[in-house]
Amino acid sequence: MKKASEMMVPREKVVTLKPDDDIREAVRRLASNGVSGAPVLQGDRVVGIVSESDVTGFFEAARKKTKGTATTSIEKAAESKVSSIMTKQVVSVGPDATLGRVAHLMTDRKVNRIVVTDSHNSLLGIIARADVIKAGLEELQ
Amino acid sequence: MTKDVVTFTEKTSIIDAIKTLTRRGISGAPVVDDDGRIVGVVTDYDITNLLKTETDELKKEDRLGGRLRTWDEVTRGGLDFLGFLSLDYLWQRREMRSMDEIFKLFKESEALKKATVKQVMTSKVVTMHPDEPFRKALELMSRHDINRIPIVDDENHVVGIVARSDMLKAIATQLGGGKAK
Repeated sequence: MKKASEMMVPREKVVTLKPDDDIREAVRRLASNGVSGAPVLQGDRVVGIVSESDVTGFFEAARKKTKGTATTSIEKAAESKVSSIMTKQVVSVGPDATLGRVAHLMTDRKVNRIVVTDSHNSLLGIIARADVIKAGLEELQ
Repeated sequence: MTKDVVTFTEKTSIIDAIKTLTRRGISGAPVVDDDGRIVGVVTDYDITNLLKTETDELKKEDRLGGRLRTWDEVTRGGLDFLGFLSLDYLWQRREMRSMDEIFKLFKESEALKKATVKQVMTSKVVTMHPDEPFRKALELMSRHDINRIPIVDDENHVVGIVARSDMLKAIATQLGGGKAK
């Protein structure tokens, strides 16, 4: 049965953000890389995670609040920092976690991505829901 | 909006639905009738939550501790793929069958062969008309906590779809014309 290390997108390919990045940068990086979420790192350590839902939800809230033209509210909102919208409770597993455990965590904690970390909470990779389903289908065939 | 929309019918098997969603890299799709009119939406979350609930119920009744009788007893005719994969983790903790045996049961399961989109889909669909403004999609997604809005014409035929990733790209485009980095 596949392990986390075999299902994950490895560190060098993971799109990441820093807590001090502004949201403009978060949008640019998520959209241009076609990913739906990105871990937030301080050095190598995972301190949070940002999903496209966090970003679009944030812009929608900003638009409702300012009631200005859509353009000004979006430009202004884009200056906020990633640290203000990221989720700090990040669901993580070690590299030897089984497919079953990862699937269980995603279902139980209702998350769409899980980071794979070492014992120092350094990022090793990331597993998205689609990666788990794909791995599961491969085991089944 | 995307016009080449992946759709399912109520009779689509769950396994075919999972394979299509996985192959196309999408997390959900509208369900249509024979005339292409929308009747519901199915997402991998719908597929995912079902068996998790079933196994929690079985744990409460302490039935997972005993020998697994039939697959039908566990799935009750339903199917949740992600939850199914999680069974290995749940069951190994109670020293039950190996994943190979579970997969064998899964492949031979009558319930699996019969499980269809109709069993897991949501029939209350939030839709939009092609003439409505793009930003309405964002408002609807936030309000209803959903990730896609099918676009339908006056007769409820699916003519397109807007997903959350489309919203992100639209925001990126709007910001891209602003300050240079």
